[in-house]
Amino acid sequence: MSVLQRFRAGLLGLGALLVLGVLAPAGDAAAGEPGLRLKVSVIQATKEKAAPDPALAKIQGELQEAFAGYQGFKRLQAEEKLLSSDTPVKLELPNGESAEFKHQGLEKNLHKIRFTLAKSKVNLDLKAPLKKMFYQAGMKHGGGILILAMYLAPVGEPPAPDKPTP
Amino acid sequence: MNDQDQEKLSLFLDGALAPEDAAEVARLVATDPEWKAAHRALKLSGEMMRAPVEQAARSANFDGLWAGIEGRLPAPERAPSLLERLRAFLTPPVLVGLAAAAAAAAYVATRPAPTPAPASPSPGLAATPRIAPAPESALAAAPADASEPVVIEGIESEGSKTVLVSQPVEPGGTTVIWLLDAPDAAGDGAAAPTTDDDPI
Repeated sequence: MSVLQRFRAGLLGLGALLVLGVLAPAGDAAAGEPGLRLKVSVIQATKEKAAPDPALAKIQGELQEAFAGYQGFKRLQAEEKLLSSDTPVKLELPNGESAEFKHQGLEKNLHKIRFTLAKSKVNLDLKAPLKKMFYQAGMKHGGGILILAMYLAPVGEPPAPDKPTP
Repeated sequence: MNDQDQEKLSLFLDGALAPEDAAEVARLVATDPEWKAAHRALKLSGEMMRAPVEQAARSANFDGLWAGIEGRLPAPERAPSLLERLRAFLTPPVLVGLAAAAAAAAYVATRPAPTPAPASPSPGLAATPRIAPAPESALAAAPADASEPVVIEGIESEGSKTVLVSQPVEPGGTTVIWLLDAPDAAGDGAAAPTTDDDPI
Protein backbone atom coordinates (compact mmCIF):
# COMPACT_ATOMS: atom_id res chain seq x y z
CA MET A 1 0.00 0.00 0.00
CA SER A 2 1.53 3.25 -1.11
CA VAL A 3 1.83 6.32 1.05
CA LEU A 4 -0.93 7.98 -0.96
CA GLN A 5 -3.22 5.00 -0.48
CA ARG A 6 -2.56 4.93 3.24
CA PHE A 7 -3.17 8.66 3.46
CA ARG A 8 -6.37 8.26 1.51
CA ALA A 9 -7.56 5.43 3.75
CA GLY A 10 -6.70 7.43 6.83
CA LEU A 11 -8.57 10.43 5.54
CA LEU A 12 -11.60 8.29 4.79
CA GLY A 13 -11.55 6.87 8.29
CA LEU A 14 -11.27 10.34 9.78
CA GLY A 15 -14.12 11.56 7.64
CA ALA A 16 -16.31 8.67 8.72
CA LEU A 17 -15.60 9.38 12.38
CA LEU A 18 -16.38 13.04 11.90
CA VAL A 19 -19.62 12.23 10.12
CA LEU A 20 -20.64 9.98 12.98
CA GLY A 21 -19.68 12.66 15.47
CA VAL A 22 -21.68 15.31 13.66
CA LEU A 23 -24.72 13.18 13.05
CA ALA A 24 -24.91 11.38 16.37
CA PRO A 25 -26.57 14.18 18.39
CA ALA A 26 -29.11 14.80 15.65
CA GLY A 27 -29.77 11.10 15.53
CA ASP A 28 -30.49 11.01 19.25
CA ALA A 29 -32.88 13.90 18.94
CA ALA A 30 -34.58 12.34 15.97
CA ALA A 31 -34.88 9.10 17.88
CA GLY A 32 -36.98 10.86 20.46
CA GLU A 33 -34.49 10.51 23.28
CA PRO A 34 -34.19 14.14 24.19
CA GLY A 35 -33.72 13.92 27.90
CA LEU A 36 -35.80 16.41 29.78
CA ARG A 37 -35.50 17.70 33.28
CA LEU A 38 -38.50 18.76 35.27
CA LYS A 39 -37.82 21.05 38.16
CA VAL A 40 -40.54 21.41 40.73
CA SER A 41 -40.63 23.66 43.74
CA VAL A 42 -43.38 22.92 46.20
CA ILE A 43 -44.45 26.18 47.81
CA GLN A 44 -46.84 26.86 50.62
CA ALA A 45 -48.85 30.03 50.18
CA THR A 46 -50.65 31.61 53.08
CA LYS A 47 -52.76 34.70 53.40
CA GLU A 48 -50.76 35.83 56.37
CA LYS A 49 -47.87 38.05 55.56
CA ALA A 50 -44.54 36.36 56.10
CA ALA A 51 -40.93 37.20 55.55
CA PRO A 52 -39.90 36.46 52.00
CA ASP A 53 -38.28 33.08 51.56
CA PRO A 54 -34.75 33.66 50.23
CA ALA A 55 -35.12 30.50 48.17
CA LEU A 56 -37.95 32.19 46.29
CA ALA A 57 -36.45 35.64 46.12
CA LYS A 58 -36.23 35.74 42.35
CA ILE A 59 -39.81 34.68 41.74
CA GLN A 60 -41.33 36.52 44.65
CA GLY A 61 -42.74 39.18 42.38
CA GLU A 62 -44.23 36.66 40.01
CA LEU A 63 -45.80 34.76 42.88
CA GLN A 64 -47.31 37.90 44.36
CA GLU A 65 -48.75 38.84 41.00
CA ALA A 66 -50.10 35.42 40.07
CA PHE A 67 -51.42 34.65 43.56
CA ALA A 68 -52.52 38.09 44.62
CA GLY A 69 -54.66 36.89 47.52
CA TYR A 70 -51.68 35.36 49.28
CA GLN A 71 -48.91 37.20 51.06
CA GLY A 72 -46.69 34.49 52.46
CA PHE A 73 -44.73 32.10 50.29
CA LYS A 74 -42.42 29.45 51.60
CA ARG A 75 -40.64 26.75 49.68
CA LEU A 76 -41.21 23.34 51.22
CA GLN A 77 -39.57 21.13 48.70
CA ALA A 78 -37.38 21.38 45.62
CA GLU A 79 -37.18 18.50 43.22
CA GLU A 80 -35.53 17.80 39.96
CA LYS A 81 -36.63 14.81 37.93
CA LEU A 82 -35.57 13.34 34.65
CA LEU A 83 -38.68 12.87 32.60
CA SER A 84 -39.16 9.82 30.48
CA SER A 85 -41.73 8.62 28.04
CA ASP A 86 -41.43 5.14 29.47
CA THR A 87 -42.16 5.55 33.13
CA PRO A 88 -44.02 8.31 34.93
CA VAL A 89 -42.05 10.27 37.46
CA LYS A 90 -43.71 10.43 40.84
CA LEU A 91 -43.45 13.21 43.34
CA GLU A 92 -44.81 12.92 46.86
CA LEU A 93 -46.33 16.15 48.11
CA PRO A 94 -46.53 17.35 51.72
CA ASN A 95 -50.30 17.07 51.77
CA GLY A 96 -50.22 13.34 51.04
CA GLU A 97 -51.05 13.80 47.40
CA SER A 98 -48.74 12.44 44.73
CA ALA A 99 -48.05 14.13 41.45
CA GLU A 100 -46.98 12.14 38.43
CA PHE A 101 -45.38 13.44 35.27
CA LYS A 102 -44.83 11.62 32.03
CA HIS A 103 -43.18 12.98 28.93
CA GLN A 104 -45.25 12.25 25.86
CA GLY A 105 -43.17 13.75 23.13
CA LEU A 106 -42.28 16.99 21.47
CA GLU A 107 -44.58 19.01 19.28
CA LYS A 108 -43.41 22.24 17.70
CA ASN A 109 -40.91 22.91 20.47
CA LEU A 110 -43.54 22.24 23.10
CA HIS A 111 -43.14 19.25 25.36
CA LYS A 112 -46.24 17.23 25.89
CA ILE A 113 -46.60 16.25 29.52
CA ARG A 114 -49.17 14.06 31.20
CA PHE A 115 -49.68 15.47 34.68
CA THR A 116 -51.62 13.42 37.18
CA LEU A 117 -52.73 14.09 40.73
CA ALA A 118 -53.63 10.57 41.73
CA LYS A 119 -55.66 11.09 44.87
CA SER A 120 -57.56 13.98 43.40
CA LYS A 121 -58.24 11.85 40.32
CA VAL A 122 -57.19 14.60 38.01
CA ASN A 123 -55.31 14.14 34.77
CA LEU A 124 -54.08 16.96 32.62
CA ASP A 125 -52.43 16.87 29.22
CA LEU A 126 -50.41 19.96 28.67
CA LYS A 127 -47.79 21.29 26.35
CA ALA A 128 -45.06 23.50 27.71
CA PRO A 129 -41.96 25.13 26.26
CA LEU A 130 -38.57 24.79 27.80
CA LYS A 131 -37.49 27.29 30.40
CA LYS A 132 -40.92 28.61 31.14
CA MET A 133 -42.38 28.53 34.61
CA PHE A 134 -45.92 27.39 35.09
CA TYR A 135 -47.88 26.60 38.19
CA GLN A 136 -50.42 24.28 39.67
CA ALA A 137 -52.13 25.63 42.77
CA GLY A 138 -55.09 25.19 45.03
CA MET A 139 -54.54 22.07 47.08
CA LYS A 140 -55.07 22.83 50.74
CA HIS A 141 -52.15 22.54 53.09
CA GLY A 142 -51.30 23.97 56.49
CA GLY A 143 -53.77 26.79 56.51
CA GLY A 144 -52.93 27.81 53.02
CA ILE A 145 -52.51 26.25 49.64
CA LEU A 146 -49.80 24.38 47.87
CA ILE A 147 -48.27 25.81 44.75
CA LEU A 148 -46.27 23.61 42.45
CA ALA A 149 -43.89 25.76 40.45
CA MET A 150 -42.81 23.72 37.45
CA TYR A 151 -40.09 24.31 34.92
CA LEU A 152 -38.78 22.22 32.04
CA ALA A 153 -35.12 22.28 31.16
CA PRO A 154 -32.89 20.30 28.84
CA VAL A 155 -30.68 17.69 30.37
CA GLY A 156 -27.31 18.93 31.47
CA GLU A 157 -26.13 16.17 33.68
CA PRO A 158 -28.09 13.56 35.59
CA PRO A 159 -29.83 15.11 38.54
CA ALA A 160 -28.60 14.45 42.00
CA PRO A 161 -30.55 11.96 44.10
CA ASP A 162 -33.80 13.27 45.40
CA LYS A 163 -33.34 15.32 48.51
CA PRO A 164 -36.31 17.19 49.86
CA THR A 165 -35.46 20.75 50.64
CA PRO A 166 -37.47 22.29 53.44
CA MET B 1 46.94 -13.15 -61.59
CA ASN B 2 45.00 -15.36 -59.33
CA ASP B 3 42.58 -14.46 -56.60
CA GLN B 4 45.31 -14.26 -54.00
CA ASP B 5 47.15 -11.76 -56.16
CA GLN B 6 43.97 -9.69 -56.50
CA GLU B 7 43.52 -9.73 -52.72
CA LYS B 8 47.11 -8.79 -52.14
CA LEU B 9 46.78 -5.94 -54.62
CA SER B 10 43.67 -4.70 -52.88
CA LEU B 11 45.42 -4.74 -49.54
CA PHE B 12 48.32 -2.90 -51.13
CA LEU B 13 45.98 -0.12 -52.25
CA ASP B 14 44.52 0.06 -48.79
CA GLY B 15 48.04 0.24 -47.28
CA ALA B 16 47.35 -2.86 -45.29
CA LEU B 17 50.28 -5.00 -46.41
CA ALA B 18 53.48 -5.67 -44.52
CA PRO B 19 56.43 -3.63 -45.83
CA GLU B 20 58.12 -6.60 -47.53
CA ASP B 21 54.89 -7.65 -49.25
CA ALA B 22 54.11 -4.05 -50.16
CA ALA B 23 57.60 -3.73 -51.72
CA GLU B 24 57.05 -6.92 -53.71
CA VAL B 25 53.63 -5.76 -54.96
CA ALA B 26 55.06 -2.33 -55.86
CA ARG B 27 57.79 -4.04 -57.88
CA LEU B 28 55.25 -6.24 -59.72
CA VAL B 29 52.97 -3.26 -60.50
CA ALA B 30 55.99 -1.41 -61.88
CA THR B 31 57.38 -4.31 -63.90
CA ASP B 32 54.51 -6.65 -64.76
CA PRO B 33 51.94 -5.27 -67.25
CA GLU B 34 49.22 -7.54 -65.93
CA TRP B 35 49.78 -6.33 -62.35
CA LYS B 36 49.98 -2.75 -63.62
CA ALA B 37 46.61 -3.05 -65.41
CA ALA B 38 44.99 -4.71 -62.46
CA HIS B 39 46.34 -2.04 -60.15
CA ARG B 40 44.97 0.72 -62.36
CA ALA B 41 41.56 -0.92 -62.69
CA LEU B 42 41.23 -1.51 -58.99
CA LYS B 43 42.31 2.01 -58.17
CA LEU B 44 39.74 3.48 -60.60
CA SER B 45 36.94 1.38 -59.25
CA GLY B 46 37.80 2.51 -55.74
CA GLU B 47 37.75 6.11 -56.78
CA MET B 48 34.45 5.61 -58.56
CA MET B 49 32.93 4.16 -55.42
CA ARG B 50 34.29 6.87 -53.11
CA ALA B 51 33.27 9.82 -55.31
CA PRO B 52 29.44 9.52 -54.93
CA VAL B 53 29.73 8.92 -51.19
CA GLU B 54 31.93 11.97 -50.73
CA GLN B 55 29.67 14.00 -52.98
CA ALA B 56 26.57 12.85 -51.07
CA ALA B 57 28.30 13.62 -47.80
CA ARG B 58 29.15 17.11 -48.98
CA SER B 59 25.64 17.79 -50.18
CA ALA B 60 23.97 16.27 -47.10
CA ASN B 61 22.18 18.74 -44.72
CA PHE B 62 22.71 17.80 -41.10
CA ASP B 63 20.69 20.70 -39.72
CA GLY B 64 17.87 19.37 -37.55
CA LEU B 65 19.33 15.89 -37.52
CA TRP B 66 19.30 15.65 -33.72
CA ALA B 67 15.87 17.17 -33.51
CA GLY B 68 14.63 14.54 -35.91
CA ILE B 69 16.22 11.78 -33.90
CA GLU B 70 14.74 13.12 -30.73
CA GLY B 71 11.38 13.34 -32.40
CA ARG B 72 11.49 9.66 -33.28
CA LEU B 73 12.64 8.57 -29.84
CA PRO B 74 9.88 7.36 -27.46
CA ALA B 75 8.78 10.16 -25.15
CA PRO B 76 10.25 9.86 -21.63
CA GLU B 77 7.79 9.46 -18.74
CA ARG B 78 6.64 12.93 -17.69
CA ALA B 79 6.02 13.79 -14.06
CA PRO B 80 2.26 14.43 -13.59
CA SER B 81 1.23 18.00 -13.04
CA LEU B 82 -0.32 19.24 -9.79
CA LEU B 83 -3.77 19.27 -11.37
CA GLU B 84 -3.34 15.70 -12.61
CA ARG B 85 -2.20 14.57 -9.17
CA LEU B 86 -5.18 16.31 -7.54
CA ARG B 87 -7.54 14.68 -10.01
CA ALA B 88 -6.06 11.28 -9.22
CA PHE B 89 -6.24 11.94 -5.49
CA LEU B 90 -9.72 13.41 -5.24
CA THR B 91 -11.68 10.28 -5.95
CA PRO B 92 -15.34 10.20 -4.85
CA PRO B 93 -14.64 8.42 -1.53
CA VAL B 94 -11.99 10.98 -0.68
CA LEU B 95 -14.36 13.78 -1.62
CA VAL B 96 -16.95 12.30 0.76
CA GLY B 97 -14.38 12.23 3.51
CA LEU B 98 -13.34 15.79 2.83
CA ALA B 99 -16.97 16.92 2.77
CA ALA B 100 -17.54 15.21 6.10
CA ALA B 101 -14.48 16.89 7.56
CA ALA B 102 -15.68 20.24 6.25
CA ALA B 103 -19.14 19.67 7.68
CA ALA B 104 -17.66 18.75 11.04
CA ALA B 105 -15.42 21.80 10.98
CA ALA B 106 -18.38 24.02 10.11
CA TYR B 107 -20.42 22.45 12.87
CA VAL B 108 -17.69 22.99 15.44
CA ALA B 109 -17.05 26.53 14.23
CA THR B 110 -20.67 27.60 14.20
CA ARG B 111 -21.86 25.71 17.26
CA PRO B 112 -23.06 28.20 19.86
CA ALA B 113 -21.27 28.20 23.17
CA PRO B 114 -23.01 26.36 25.98
CA THR B 115 -25.25 28.66 27.90
CA PRO B 116 -26.28 28.21 31.48
CA ALA B 117 -29.87 27.91 32.47
CA PRO B 118 -31.33 31.34 32.94
CA ALA B 119 -31.26 32.82 36.41
CA SER B 120 -34.85 33.84 35.92
CA PRO B 121 -37.61 32.79 35.99
CA SER B 122 -36.33 29.81 37.94
CA PRO B 123 -34.31 31.39 40.67
CA GLY B 124 -35.86 29.35 43.38
CA LEU B 125 -34.80 26.21 41.67
CA ALA B 126 -31.48 27.56 40.57
CA ALA B 127 -30.71 28.24 44.19
CA THR B 128 -30.40 24.50 44.63
CA PRO B 129 -26.67 23.91 44.27
CA ARG B 130 -27.00 20.43 42.75
CA ILE B 131 -28.63 21.78 39.63
CA ALA B 132 -25.98 22.25 36.99
CA PRO B 133 -26.25 24.66 34.10
CA ALA B 134 -27.82 22.97 31.16
CA PRO B 135 -25.49 22.83 28.18
CA GLU B 136 -26.70 23.07 24.64
CA SER B 137 -28.12 19.78 23.53
CA ALA B 138 -30.27 18.41 20.77
CA LEU B 139 -33.20 19.72 22.72
CA ALA B 140 -31.83 23.18 23.07
CA ALA B 141 -30.89 23.14 19.41
CA ALA B 142 -34.56 23.67 18.70
CA PRO B 143 -34.97 27.10 20.17
CA ALA B 144 -37.60 27.08 22.84
CA ASP B 145 -39.66 30.19 22.86
CA ALA B 146 -40.30 30.79 26.52
CA SER B 147 -42.86 33.43 25.60
CA GLU B 148 -45.11 30.69 24.26
CA PRO B 149 -47.89 29.95 26.69
CA VAL B 150 -48.41 26.60 28.29
CA VAL B 151 -51.21 24.85 26.47
CA ILE B 152 -53.68 22.69 28.33
CA GLU B 153 -54.89 20.11 25.86
CA GLY B 154 -57.07 18.01 28.06
CA ILE B 155 -58.48 17.84 31.56
CA GLU B 156 -59.94 14.79 33.23
CA SER B 157 -61.36 15.14 36.73
CA GLU B 158 -63.12 12.11 38.09
CA GLY B 159 -63.22 13.26 41.69
CA SER B 160 -64.69 16.23 43.46
CA LYS B 161 -62.07 18.67 42.28
CA THR B 162 -62.68 21.48 39.91
CA VAL B 163 -59.93 22.41 37.53
CA LEU B 164 -59.60 25.97 36.32
CA VAL B 165 -56.84 27.20 34.09
CA SER B 166 -55.65 30.76 34.31
CA GLN B 167 -53.95 31.68 31.09
CA PRO B 168 -51.91 34.85 30.69
CA VAL B 169 -53.39 37.73 28.81
CA GLU B 170 -50.02 39.01 27.68
CA PRO B 171 -47.21 37.01 26.13
CA GLY B 172 -44.78 35.77 28.75
CA GLY B 173 -47.43 35.77 31.46
CA THR B 174 -47.99 33.03 33.94
CA THR B 175 -50.14 29.97 33.48
CA VAL B 176 -51.75 28.62 36.65
CA ILE B 177 -53.68 25.39 36.86
CA TRP B 178 -56.06 25.76 39.74
CA LEU B 179 -57.34 22.73 41.55
CA LEU B 180 -60.28 23.76 43.65
CA ASP B 181 -62.07 21.82 46.30
CA ALA B 182 -65.83 21.57 46.13
CA PRO B 183 -67.40 23.68 48.91
CA ASP B 184 -67.92 21.60 52.01
CA ALA B 185 -71.01 21.56 54.21
CA ALA B 186 -69.90 24.69 56.01
CA GLY B 187 -69.66 26.39 52.74
CA ASP B 188 -65.93 26.76 53.15
CA GLY B 189 -64.31 26.62 49.81
CA ALA B 190 -61.00 26.15 51.56
CA ALA B 191 -58.26 27.06 49.15
CA ALA B 192 -60.64 28.33 46.54
CA PRO B 193 -59.87 31.94 45.84
CA THR B 194 -62.25 34.50 47.27
CA THR B 195 -63.79 37.23 45.22
CA ASP B 196 -60.79 39.39 45.96
CA ASP B 197 -58.20 36.84 44.94
CA ASP B 198 -59.97 35.06 42.12
CA PRO B 199 -57.09 34.13 39.85
CA ILE B 200 -59.08 34.37 36.69
